[in-house]
Amino acid sequence: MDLIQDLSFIHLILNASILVQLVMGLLLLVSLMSWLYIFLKMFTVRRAVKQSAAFEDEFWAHADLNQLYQKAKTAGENAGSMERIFSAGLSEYAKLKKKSNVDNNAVMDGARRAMRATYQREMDHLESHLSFLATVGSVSPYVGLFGTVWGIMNAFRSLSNVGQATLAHVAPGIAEALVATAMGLFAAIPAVVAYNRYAHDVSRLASRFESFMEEFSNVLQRQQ
Amino acid sequence: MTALAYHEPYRYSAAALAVVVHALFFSLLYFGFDWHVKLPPDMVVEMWGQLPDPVPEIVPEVLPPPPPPPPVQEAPAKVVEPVVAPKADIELKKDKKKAAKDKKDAAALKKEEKNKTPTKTDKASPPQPAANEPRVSQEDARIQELKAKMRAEMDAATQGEVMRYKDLIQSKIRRNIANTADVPENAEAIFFVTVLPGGLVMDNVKLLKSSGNAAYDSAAERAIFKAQPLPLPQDPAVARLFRELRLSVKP
Repeated sequence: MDLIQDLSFIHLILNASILVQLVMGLLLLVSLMSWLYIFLKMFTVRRAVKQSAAFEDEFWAHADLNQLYQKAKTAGENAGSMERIFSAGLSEYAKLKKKSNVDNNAVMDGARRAMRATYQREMDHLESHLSFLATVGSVSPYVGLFGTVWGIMNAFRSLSNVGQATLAHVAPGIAEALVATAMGLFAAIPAVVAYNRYAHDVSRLASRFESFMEEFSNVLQRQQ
Repeated sequence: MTALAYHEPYRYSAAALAVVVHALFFSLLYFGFDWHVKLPPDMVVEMWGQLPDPVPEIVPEVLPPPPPPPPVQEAPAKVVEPVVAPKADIELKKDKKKAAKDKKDAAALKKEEKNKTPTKTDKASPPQPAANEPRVSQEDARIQELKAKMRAEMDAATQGEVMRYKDLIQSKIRRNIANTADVPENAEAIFFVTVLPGGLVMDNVKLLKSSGNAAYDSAAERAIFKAQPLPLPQDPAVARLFRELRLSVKP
């Protein structure tokens, strides 16, 4: 190759100023984490949707509550969110029913409270890391832009020492600075898309859980 | 029951996928761009290669008209002439030079002439000064005749243009030669020059024949670059003849 400038990609990154390198490192880390969460959320949300559908089918097909309860117990930590809500409600209902001096309304309220608490916990689990994706989506372009602006500032500052300014003096600096923007955008775009997608999926799951809770309360009330 | 233990079998596969995505992105950056700088000269050379020009035929005709003909024509006319001819040629050149370099003061010229006189005496007999002026005019007339003949042979208008711009180019270069104080009168450096449309000279100027004086050669080469843009004919067909030139530079 010719000796003047060989703008290889690695060369660009290694020759960048320290701050730009820091920015690029930060963005790489953030991007790795956001992609990790993107895939993690993709798997968890998909599994939660599948499990909820399967449990609902089972619940409405044969409403033998004890059998379902046993199944949920044996599933343990593999149980789906809806299964957990169901077993929490049913066990609380059973416990309260055993006590003789509790009236029916109190039993129902206790079961609802237990389900509500499990529902909150499940939602918290499903929504975890989504805020991280949102933050990455909104902030990392600015971080990349900061790196770029800094790099371009340096490129132009070094131009002041040269008598005759040509594009060749600034071009490498600007190219290396723009790598930071590229990385910021690479981190941000998928994060925003994933956030919107998963937030939508989770809110649909939430409404599904709530309607199931109402319906299950009705089933419990009918059993008294 | 309330102890929250979530089974997440996806952690590792998600991490692996994230790494894969980044590897893809960086390989895209690395291979998707051509990071190497390409040098433009290669293209330029190809462009010149595309134009087949009749240049080599015409340029030699343009360049050496004055020196060779006089002996041939004079030989039958006068017996004494051939001996004096080179001398007269020198005088002619001197005249041209005087016309061209008005800036040079008279003293410098006289000095040069003094320097030159020994070379003249080597070549020819003393009684020149009296016969000088009529011969010069004769030479001029002969050159005019020759030029006229050549013009008649060629397409008259084109040839006229070529001659005119030939002279313009040579005089412009001669004007740009920095210092010719101690260069012999008959020095002649011949350069091969590629001229771009617009009159710029390409860097590949080659010295075909040295004048014998390295300082003068380099001064002449510098003068060629200083004379940019070279005057070129307006008519593109005629200008095409000036793409590649054998430029002779004389003091």
